[in-house]
Order: sequence, then C-alpha cells, then structure tokens
Amino acid sequence: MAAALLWAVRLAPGADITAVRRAMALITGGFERVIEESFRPARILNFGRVRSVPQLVEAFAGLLTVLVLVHSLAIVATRRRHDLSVLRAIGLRPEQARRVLWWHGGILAAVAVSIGVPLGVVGGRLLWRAVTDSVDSVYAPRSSWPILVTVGCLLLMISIAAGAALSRRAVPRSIAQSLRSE
Amino acid sequence: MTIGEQALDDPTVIRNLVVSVNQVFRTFEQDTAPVRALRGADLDIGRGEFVAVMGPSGCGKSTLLNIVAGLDVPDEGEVSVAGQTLIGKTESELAIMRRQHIGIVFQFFNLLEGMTALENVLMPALIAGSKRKAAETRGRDLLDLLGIGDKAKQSPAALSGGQRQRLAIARALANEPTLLLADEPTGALDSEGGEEVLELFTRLHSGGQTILLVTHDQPVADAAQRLVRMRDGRVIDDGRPAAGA
Repeated sequence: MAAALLWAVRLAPGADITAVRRAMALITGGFERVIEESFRPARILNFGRVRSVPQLVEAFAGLLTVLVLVHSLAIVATRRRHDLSVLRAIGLRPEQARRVLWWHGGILAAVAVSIGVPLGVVGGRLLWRAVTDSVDSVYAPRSSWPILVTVGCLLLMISIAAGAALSRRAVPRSIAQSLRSE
Repeated sequence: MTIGEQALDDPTVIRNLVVSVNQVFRTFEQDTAPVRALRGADLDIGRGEFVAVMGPSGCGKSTLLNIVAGLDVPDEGEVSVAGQTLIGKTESELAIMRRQHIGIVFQFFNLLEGMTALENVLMPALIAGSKRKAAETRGRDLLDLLGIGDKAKQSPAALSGGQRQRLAIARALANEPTLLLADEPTGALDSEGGEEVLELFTRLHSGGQTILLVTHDQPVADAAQRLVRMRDGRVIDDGRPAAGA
C-alpha cells in the first residue's frame, strides 16, 4: 500500500483554483486530489504561529553583536590607556589619540560584519531548512540583502560612535598623572 | 656663576637658552589637602648643558620635569623651551612642541610592549610625519649606536632592564630633540644597568646633547655637568657638583 501523500499549498488571494487543480494534476499524475481553500494541517498552523521567531532571533543576535562590540571597545580603551598616554608623551595630539579608538571601533565592526553576517546567513538558512523539513513545509528563503546591508552599516556606525565616546575616557587629560599611576 | 646668572649680563646666553623656568607654581588638589609641588621654581638651562636636578622625594623635581616637557601645566609662572613659551599653548600645540624639541626617558621605560624594539624607536618619527624608510634607517642607526642593534626585532619584554632603558633612550632621540629629559632613568635598574645608562648620557652630552635629568641618587647626579638641588618646590642650590663633573 502506497503511503498517503499530503501536500499543503498556499494560494494567493484571488488565485484561480481550477487552474491550480490543472497544474497539480500534471504533478500528481492524476491521483485523487482535494483542494480545500481553508485546509491547513495542524503542524503548518503551529509553524505559522512561530513565524516571527527568526526575526526575534535576528534582532537578538544584532543586539548581542552591538553589546559585544561596545564591551570589546571598552576593554580596549582601558587596556590601551597606558599606550595612548605614552604615545601622547612622544607627540601624538589628543585628537589623533582619540582617532585610534575610532579606527579600532570601525575595524572591529567591519571584521564582525564581514565574518558574522555571511556566517549568520548560511547558518540561519541551514537551521531554517532543517526546521521546515521537519514539518514538511516548503523551504523558501526570502532575499534579505537590503536588511543585511542596513544592519551592517548600522553596526559600523554604532561601533565607530562607541569608539568615539569611549576615546574620551581612554585618552587621559593629564598625561603625567596617567603615566605615573600606571 | 650659573647660566641663569650669566643670562642677566650676556645676551648670547639668552639666545642659547634651551629651558627657562621662571617663578613656577603648581598645586595638586588631593582628597585630604592640596599638595604644593612647586612654589616658585626657577631654572635656566643653556644649549649643550647636562643638568641634574636632585632632591628628596616630593620636592617637586618630577613635576618640574613634567612641566618642562609640556606634560603638565603650571598654575603660575613662565616656562619656555627652545625659545617657545609653553604657557597658553593648547594640548595639540604642546604635543607638536614635544615632537620637535623634546625626548623623554622615564623611570619605568614606558615602552610599547605590543611592538618590536625597532617599532618603538620608529614611533616618534612616524608621529612627527617622517617617511617610514627614513625613520627606519634612523631607528636602526640609533639602536646600533646604543648597542642594541641586534635586538631590533625583539619585543621590549625580552630585553634586560638596561637594554630596555637604552631602547627608551633611542626612542627619545628619534627626532633629534633639542632637549633630552630623563626622570630617574636609573631608578629601576641594577647597578650595572645604571652605569650603562649613565655612560650613555655622558656620551650623548659630549656629542652636544642638552640633558635635564631628575634623580635622588648622588652618584647619578655626579655624572652631570651641573647640579641643581630642590627642596619644598624651590631650587635651593644651582651649581656644579663638587666632584666627578
């Protein structure tokens, strides 16, 4: 006895059901078919209920990335305080010293974006494919490049801004005092 | 007669003054009570002089050195270095003055540990806008001159105390400064390292380098051509050392 095959097809509002039946007949090879406008298996319904989870995970990952970037910059600002004082003592101007951290922030974000975003896209899609396969749903990833580019630019801007803000703390006002206290 | 006293009579001495400190006051606000580090300090140093400032701990000698270096700003008084007054200069202008005229040697070296010995020496020249190749040639020459040419690619952490201080001196000389400042340069060294460093200062002085050295160690001060004694934020004696000069 052949196993029952269930296909769930989602039609756009106003779709021509007769045309869909004709097209489905070509695929199924004339098997008995029932197309009900309102039919939705329970697992598809459940799946629909968690459809916003990937967006929440994306937002959480983005927030986590920002926090990690800012935290890393704060650590760098503290650790490099002595080096910046030394560089100031040998002739680095205050604005140049501050720019060191802006650059650091920018480079850190660029590296995070260039490695993290492709890894996130590949990893996310693999995971989503596994989830859709497990509920017999169709894997149809949406192209999200505009969002990814926006997220990348935002991360870059936030990181540079954090570097600029932290640089005020990292670049000591009194070089003599800073070198003495290190 | 000190350079300062000669300056009153001889205008050529004024032209040759590298450092002029006049009635400088500096007070640090502390939690308990204000600390009056300098209370009307005066000091003139002529071109090519090797001056040691000596005094007990807390007498204001390091504060004086920091003010001459433009690392600290006096509350009152006049300070000029290489003919430029430091009073009223912005942080940026002071940084540019340091690049052009001042090399500093610290007690605890203050080397950049993440860089090689050569990169440490290159840094002041690169900050001053020198081309990397020219800076590298000068850096290697300096390391050779100070006897650590073979350590160019090593991290400062891999060097002995004496070698680290020689590296710090090489860095201080990178931009051919008008004035070399040294704050307790032998304070963190053993006697052998200290002697090496003092011998180096003497050699630099005989090559015409103006040096201002701060110490509380009499043998170190004896290596200088002129000894200035400080107490309670003032210069109390300004003359040549009794012996060894």
